[in-house]
Amino acid sequence: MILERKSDIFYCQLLFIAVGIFFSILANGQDVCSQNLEEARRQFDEGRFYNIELIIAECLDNGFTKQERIDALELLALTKLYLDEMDKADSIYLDLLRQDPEHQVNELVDPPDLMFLHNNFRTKPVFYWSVIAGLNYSSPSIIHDYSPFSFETTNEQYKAKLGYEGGVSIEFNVYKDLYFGGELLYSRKNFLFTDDPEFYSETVSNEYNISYIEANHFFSIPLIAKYTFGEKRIRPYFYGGLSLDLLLFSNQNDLSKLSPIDEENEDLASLNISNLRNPWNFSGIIGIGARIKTDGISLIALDFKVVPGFTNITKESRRYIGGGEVQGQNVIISGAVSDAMRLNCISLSIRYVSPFYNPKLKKDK
Amino acid sequence: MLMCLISCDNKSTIEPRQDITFLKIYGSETRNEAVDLIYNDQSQEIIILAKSFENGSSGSRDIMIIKTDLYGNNASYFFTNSTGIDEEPIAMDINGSDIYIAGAVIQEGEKDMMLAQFSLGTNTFLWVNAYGEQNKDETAFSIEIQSSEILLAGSAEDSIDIDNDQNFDVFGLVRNVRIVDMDGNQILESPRKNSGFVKDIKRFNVNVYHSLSQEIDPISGEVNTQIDAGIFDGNFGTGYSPQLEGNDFPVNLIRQDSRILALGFFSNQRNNPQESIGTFLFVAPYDQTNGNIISGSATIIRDSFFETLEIIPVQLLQVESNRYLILGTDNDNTIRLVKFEEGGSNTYNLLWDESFGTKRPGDEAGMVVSYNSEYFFNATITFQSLSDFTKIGLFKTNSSGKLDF
Repeated sequence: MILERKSDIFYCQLLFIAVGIFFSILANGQDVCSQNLEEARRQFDEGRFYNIELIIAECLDNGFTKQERIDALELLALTKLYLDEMDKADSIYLDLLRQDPEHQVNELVDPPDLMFLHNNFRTKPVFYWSVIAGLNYSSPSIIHDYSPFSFETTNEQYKAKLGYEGGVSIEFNVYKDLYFGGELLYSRKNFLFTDDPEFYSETVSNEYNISYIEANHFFSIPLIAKYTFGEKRIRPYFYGGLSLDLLLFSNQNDLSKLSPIDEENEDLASLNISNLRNPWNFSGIIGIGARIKTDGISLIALDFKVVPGFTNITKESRRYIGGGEVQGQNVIISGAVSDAMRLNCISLSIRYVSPFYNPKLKKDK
Repeated sequence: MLMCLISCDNKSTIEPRQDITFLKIYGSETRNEAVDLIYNDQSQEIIILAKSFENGSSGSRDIMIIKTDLYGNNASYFFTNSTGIDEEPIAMDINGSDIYIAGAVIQEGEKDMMLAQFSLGTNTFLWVNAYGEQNKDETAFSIEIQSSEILLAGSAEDSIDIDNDQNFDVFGLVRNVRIVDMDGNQILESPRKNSGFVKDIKRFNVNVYHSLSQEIDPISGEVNTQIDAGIFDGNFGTGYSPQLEGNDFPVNLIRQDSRILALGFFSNQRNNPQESIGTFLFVAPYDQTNGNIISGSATIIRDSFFETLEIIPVQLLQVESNRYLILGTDNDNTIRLVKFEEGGSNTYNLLWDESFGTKRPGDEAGMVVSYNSEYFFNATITFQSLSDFTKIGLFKTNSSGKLDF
């Protein structure tokens, strides 16, 4: 037993030594490569360009930290540029951009030749993709008014309610800071309808409370053109476009029953009015926002947009039928006839944005 | 727009479209039931006759008139507001700028035939008259104005001589017709020999009428429909009684091309039928010179769509030369508007059959009028489970019976 324990301890000690040696070699290797990079920089500063590649070549394969490797590639590309080996300079800088797509040059510090080299490459993202989550605030604008009550006795009101939306988007860089993209967006847009029509009374005010919250569920495909400003940590943008909105389904919820104002309201189950709504709609989009660079490659965007509806969401041929088979049933249950209306919306969303880079030499170099 | 979206408080102040079909709801603080409807071509107003009352409250029953424009807006309400008297309107007719309303008036336990005059010019009830004898209830179901005289037809309680032995065997409902002048003064009361009541009446000339009646066997209680043609000082019962299996109920009659068309329905229920087991149409040609129904020429139409049209109809209306509407309520409490046409040789074809309302107990069809190939009809609508929250619905459909356009 004692012998077995001694053997176990021996092997453990051996393992610790081996791991220690491994990390020691690794650390030593890195130290050596760091020193090599410093040496290469010194020689570059002294104008001795021919040895630089030799000094850092081995470490480029293995030994540099990520940042050291990028610095080394930049140094090497600049060296090749000074040695008038343009093709090699391009190739090395392309390698650099593939490893650090967001690599920037500083015109105040870096030599103009490096700036020249950098500008020869497509360094902007080819596209951004985003995940969207947000809140919206919707209210209709009335085209024609309809009411089941004598018009002068009605007091129809619409009030915006909060809704929500979520989806994904993709934006392609088409020219300099101009992007063109599209989204796949689900949204629930709510609004409150109230009316208190007066029935005839000789004695007291004879009002009747009618209300419901209408929820319209859309699947939208917005197409937008977006202009962004700068490549700093906070990158503002504005955009505009058109959206194709497929109305998936529509409900009137929290229906009040048509009853005297002093009677206890009794909630009804929601009324499906999908057949009362036009499934295909269009809306415009105007928006502003800003992308905020995170520590990594991704960005977080705050986005505000105004989405005016362009089309009448009410299907004129189903106004008095709705989802029912009996004409007028939906009107009698809800106490309202759906107006001809466009649905407008403002929206505030937060977006996780991830760029996709594919650096390459510009054709017009 | 952004401000609007942020404040998001939109009052819909846009004028309603004026060229469309509609469904409008009217009412007062009491229970309201639709009864009759007239479109006044002169003023382009729709006039709705309704009952206004509170359940179980004696003296609360009033005549209610609602006037709206052609689009169902600008509704104005008028009531008799009589104290201690219950009025029960049933039908109305228009004469110039006056509306005459028939029905019953109940005062201190006495129920009499009622005639009321309402001025469309001043929007006031000018008078409400009662006609009847003490201890004999009487009701007018039909009214027709012709030759400056008003024909009221309905029922009266009286003694009935069943076997014509000059002895009165039972006390029950008999048919009754009264003629009054335009100021409400009675000119004539017709004989009352046959059991039952007159449901509808049309005057042929000064002395001759066509009526649609319901016979009630005072012994068995069996009810049957009968078309009568007679003179005002003559007998009821000189007309045509179709041979049906019983429990057939009359609705109304129209005259067209020397024929009387009368609509009725069948029910398994003998009194106050709430369910229908089919409808039927009488077609009874009459002599154009004297108005007499031509013996042996009458036909009962029960086949085609009539047999399966299980509605309790309230009106048959001619809307084109050979096309007609039927308004009624089916056994699911759905209001039905049916259009059919005559195909010749007593064949009738269904054109369309449309449903309206809520499928809830309490929805009942009122009356229908046509207007430029569009149809107005009124209905009693009971909302949700509140049986007392009963209001008037006014529907205007296009010529296809659709509310939408």
